[in-house]
Amino acid sequence: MVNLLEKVLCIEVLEKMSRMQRFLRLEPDVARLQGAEVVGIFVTALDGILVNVEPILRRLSEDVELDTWESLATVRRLSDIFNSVDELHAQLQFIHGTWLRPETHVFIKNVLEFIPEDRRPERVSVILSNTYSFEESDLSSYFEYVLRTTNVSVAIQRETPTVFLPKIERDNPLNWAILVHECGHTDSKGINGLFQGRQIIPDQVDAFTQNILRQWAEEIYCDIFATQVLGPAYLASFATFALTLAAAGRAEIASETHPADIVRICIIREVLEKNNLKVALTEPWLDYDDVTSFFYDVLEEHTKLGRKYVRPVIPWPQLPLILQDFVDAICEQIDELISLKRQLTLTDFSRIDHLACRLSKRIPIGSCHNLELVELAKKDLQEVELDSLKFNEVREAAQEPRTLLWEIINAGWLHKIRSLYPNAFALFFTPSDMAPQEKIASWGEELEATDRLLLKSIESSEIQKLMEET
Amino acid sequence: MKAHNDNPNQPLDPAKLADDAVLALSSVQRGSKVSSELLEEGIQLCDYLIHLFQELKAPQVETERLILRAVRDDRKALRESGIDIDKAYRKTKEVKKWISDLMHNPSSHSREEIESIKEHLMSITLPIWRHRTSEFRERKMKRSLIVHG
Repeated sequence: MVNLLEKVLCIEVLEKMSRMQRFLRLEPDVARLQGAEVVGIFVTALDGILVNVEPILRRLSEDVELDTWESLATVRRLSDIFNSVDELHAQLQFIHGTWLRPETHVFIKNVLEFIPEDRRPERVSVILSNTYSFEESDLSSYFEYVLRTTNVSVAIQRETPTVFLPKIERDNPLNWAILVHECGHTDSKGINGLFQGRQIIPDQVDAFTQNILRQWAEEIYCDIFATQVLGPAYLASFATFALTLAAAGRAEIASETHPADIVRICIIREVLEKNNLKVALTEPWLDYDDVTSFFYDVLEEHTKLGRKYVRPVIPWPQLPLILQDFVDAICEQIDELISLKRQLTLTDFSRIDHLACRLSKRIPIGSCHNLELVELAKKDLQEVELDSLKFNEVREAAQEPRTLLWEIINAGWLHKIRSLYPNAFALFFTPSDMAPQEKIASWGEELEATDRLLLKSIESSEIQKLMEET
Repeated sequence: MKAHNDNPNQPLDPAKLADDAVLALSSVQRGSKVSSELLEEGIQLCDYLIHLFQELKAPQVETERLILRAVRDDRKALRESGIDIDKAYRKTKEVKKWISDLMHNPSSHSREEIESIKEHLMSITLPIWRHRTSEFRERKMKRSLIVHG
């Protein structure tokens, strides 16, 4: 497919816009409490941003390969357009009355269950955030800090681990995957263990660099934690997040708190390969045979494009040799340190393909037949002899065991690549008389339908789990 | 009530103008129909850049005139990028003329010449764009750091 990077990036940016439109529309209290004018300003602003996307849609509709300068111009323009959506997202502070979905709490609860009980926080709160960032904080110490800046000392004396979810991702379980990384930050015992065993930070670095490497070690720990909990779906979610922020070589630039995104993606990919975790892709229009390679390559393509006109300034701690040693040292002991209650294997992903097919037929996937058991039971039923009929096995085959969190999210990502992207490409990049506003509305309905299926799946899986427990 | 966007001298967005112009110029190269408005954006950009280069070549006393912060920042970004100001100034003037030629006659310049226009517009606006977007990123990062600790 020509211009795959630009098309995926464009669709991801349009998705954010569509989700913001929906967020504004779905707030039932907004119109009553604040007047339609405030919401109207957001809607008008989004329409204005969409006008800026039109030249790109027209160009990509030609389906002729972009040359290097066009590609750079398109990616840079999309980056600016995403920044404008990001800025508008910060202004959602003016919209009140947003409630978190119960499914999000279910999601977090299921993630925490991966952590052994002696290390697991009792609960992790979730807050919808105005900033388009996925973050984690201890709200107690944050409040102490905020009050201290006014010379008032308050000791709250407890921890309140909290993760922040951008408002427009409220209904999108596929991007809740990044919250799993944030939950990793609450596993402070595990993280502290990183610095107690083998020395991972080289002696020769100064105190400033040591501090940076400590923070990076924690981020890498949380990335690996999320990868072990969710598998390829975490890479997919993180890569699309990084893609929208990756303009002009940014994916290769580290900050004091985080290693460069491309470094993190490489580590996540290595962990997936090492554990042989993959979700197979068999789409004829793609040259990739699994979800991880697809998203890795799209981000790598973006990074290479940036390199053509930006020479990244590599800060000292990121010097390849030091960084490689540092990452190797962490990875060598990470399995032992993370030691989750459950380790995913490739077998756990055997149903993903079937589940994604069900999603494309608009069937919720909270539970699903075990196809092997069904086949066996069929044989038994064909040879009916009441005396020898294995009632229990037939009954078990007839029941649908619940699907698990990582299955739902991975199936969702597979469905996105298989069905949602091709549909969006056809909608936005095929010349037609349909106005962009109509296209984005139609695309929004499709996203909403998928969200509903995934939310329903999380809910029904949890109900079944509760019933099994009682 | 004071409006936030009532400044009549609001500066242009050089990266946006360059991106639009580059897409239009590629259409010219492919022989497709091009909106003259998009090429016009390239000329607007050249005018703005020429103005910036003139200021860089012969700095004026700023206290006597109102200088918009964005213009000053764009000029600073160009100065700090290490480009050869004289050379870039001459090239920008040439590029402006070539775009104008192309508006009247799409076959007035060769593919290679159009390629060099695209390269110039993209590379010359890069430091300005990076400077402008880094401010946005830093603001966001600061906000995030306060909460994240």
